[in-house]
Amino acid sequence: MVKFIVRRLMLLIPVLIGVSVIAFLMLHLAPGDPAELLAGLEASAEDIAALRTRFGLDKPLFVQYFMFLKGLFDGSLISLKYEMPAASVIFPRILNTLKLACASIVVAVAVGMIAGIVSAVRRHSLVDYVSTTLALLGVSMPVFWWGLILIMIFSVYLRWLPSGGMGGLRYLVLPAIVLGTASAGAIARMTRSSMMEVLKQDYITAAKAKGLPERLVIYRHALRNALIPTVTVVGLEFGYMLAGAVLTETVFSWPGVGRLIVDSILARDYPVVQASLVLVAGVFVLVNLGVDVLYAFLDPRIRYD
Amino acid sequence: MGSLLEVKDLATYFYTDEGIIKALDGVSFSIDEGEILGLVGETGCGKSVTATSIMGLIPSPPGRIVRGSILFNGRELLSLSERQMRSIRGREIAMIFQDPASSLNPVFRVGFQVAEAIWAHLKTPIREALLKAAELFGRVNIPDPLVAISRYPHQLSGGMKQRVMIAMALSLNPKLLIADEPTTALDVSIQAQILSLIKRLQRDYGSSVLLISHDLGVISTMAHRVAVMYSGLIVEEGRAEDLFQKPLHPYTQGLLAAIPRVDEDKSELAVIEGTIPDLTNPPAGCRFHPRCPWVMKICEAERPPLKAVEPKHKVACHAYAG
Repeated sequence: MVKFIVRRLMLLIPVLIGVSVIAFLMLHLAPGDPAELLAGLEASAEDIAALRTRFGLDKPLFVQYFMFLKGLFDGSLISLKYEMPAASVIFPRILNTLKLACASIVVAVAVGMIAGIVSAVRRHSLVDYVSTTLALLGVSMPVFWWGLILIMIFSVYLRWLPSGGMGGLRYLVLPAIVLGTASAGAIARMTRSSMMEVLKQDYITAAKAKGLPERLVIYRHALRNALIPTVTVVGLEFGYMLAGAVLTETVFSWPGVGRLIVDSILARDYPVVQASLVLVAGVFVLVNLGVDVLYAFLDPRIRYD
Repeated sequence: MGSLLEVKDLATYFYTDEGIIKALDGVSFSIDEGEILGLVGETGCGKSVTATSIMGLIPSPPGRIVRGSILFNGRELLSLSERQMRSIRGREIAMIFQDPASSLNPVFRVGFQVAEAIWAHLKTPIREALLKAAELFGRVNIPDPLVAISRYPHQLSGGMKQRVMIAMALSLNPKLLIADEPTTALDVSIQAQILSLIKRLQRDYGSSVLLISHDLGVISTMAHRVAVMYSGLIVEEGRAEDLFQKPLHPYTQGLLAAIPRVDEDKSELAVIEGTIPDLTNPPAGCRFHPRCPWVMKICEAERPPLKAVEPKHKVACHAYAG
């Protein structure tokens, strides 16, 4: 197992190199001269020339790439907008995103799994229909609309929770619910279908034939098996939360990395965009590794060595 | 010795969108203490449904026991609550399943799965129950019991898995063991081992066994008494030697004739003409009449009752009415 984790961590290196090459080339693939692009429309020829030297754009492409890589680590990759190392701009944002994503996945897993299990155990009952409908609704609702509705109810009318910004736990509640809703729906649907599949298996009948109480048959024998496909969905959802929470972050003015990337693109702050892509990709790969490790823990048939 | 299990007029229906499947439609038989009763019949004739009905594990919906009685040790199982039934399952009536590969939970160690059965009934601490499991593993001839208890199902062969299932079934010394096609999924060489193991344990423990199989060879080596099932009904029942030497029902005769023999020089296999009836819409009267070589007028109209035509040998056929 340790060998597997080490091997997977080594695999992180080629993935990050790939992503960094793409992120780096992005600037060069855009039509026109990158220096002109960076300088903007009204720049004079001298300004452009100065920029070209400042960013080493006059050097060969691979030298530029290594400068970019070096800059990622030693802080010489400077954000154009904030005029500080790109990494120090991104790091606190990633922490904020992580905080929101963790809270959201907790909400999603708790709500989604309970709904899925209940649906599967009492399938074709009223509870099942209500929960499947809500799950579909949760998956389909646009985040900006759902966020605004919640703000209207809980911030504007009831005045229970803040409508945006960061602070204590209270600030986390609404964004976590909004970001977790779609995932809760996806998790509920996956849990329901995998649970129903497992409940049909012979070992469930065999467990009942031993005289085990229903509760143990469901939560010990069935759930442990049904969790395997569910964990995949949870991992994917968590990955999306880390990378693509732009809408939620915007609605709740949450200073996360998704908004940072969008703002940086709009502000043509290429170093920050490039560095964020590399970091987000790295986090995504780590989450996937976590999921794979969890598989082995849940299912003894999966051993990686 | 009295009857341990008495099933009378048991009917189990499945209410599906395609109609009502009358999987069992008036099954009656009994098992004495210490006896092995063989239940034979083709696939889909209701053997397994009989087993799950006795265990109270008919999936509901769509299944339901619509009438009849299952007397076990003097108690009516059909009137017990789920809680009372649970205390009987595994403890007084245990079951061995057809496919040991799918009846063990893949994510738990086999020792734990046996220990869990003991714990469920006796509340034995799991550590002690595991030791008991190891002891049972020894009794069913699993090598290195103390190592084997910490194996996962996928690390064991099919034969070993079935031994685990047998150990689990015997863990609480049940009065009745239901073995539903216990060797069908196993290699032929392993089958004999498992069968002789079941027979030996049955003698040692003095349990009764309901042995379900479509394999007449298995039934003839194991059973004291045999019941032949056709389309949700028992058509013939008697002592193994009587039934195999002098089968009465045309269906039983057909089954026995269909066994290929090495000492006979025949180019074609004997078959029973026709197919097993559709259980949503079974033929009226005797359910075997569309395939029966002896069919008479009365067979299409009236269902023949199961009655003794010779001592300890019952048959449900109008041909023996006189």
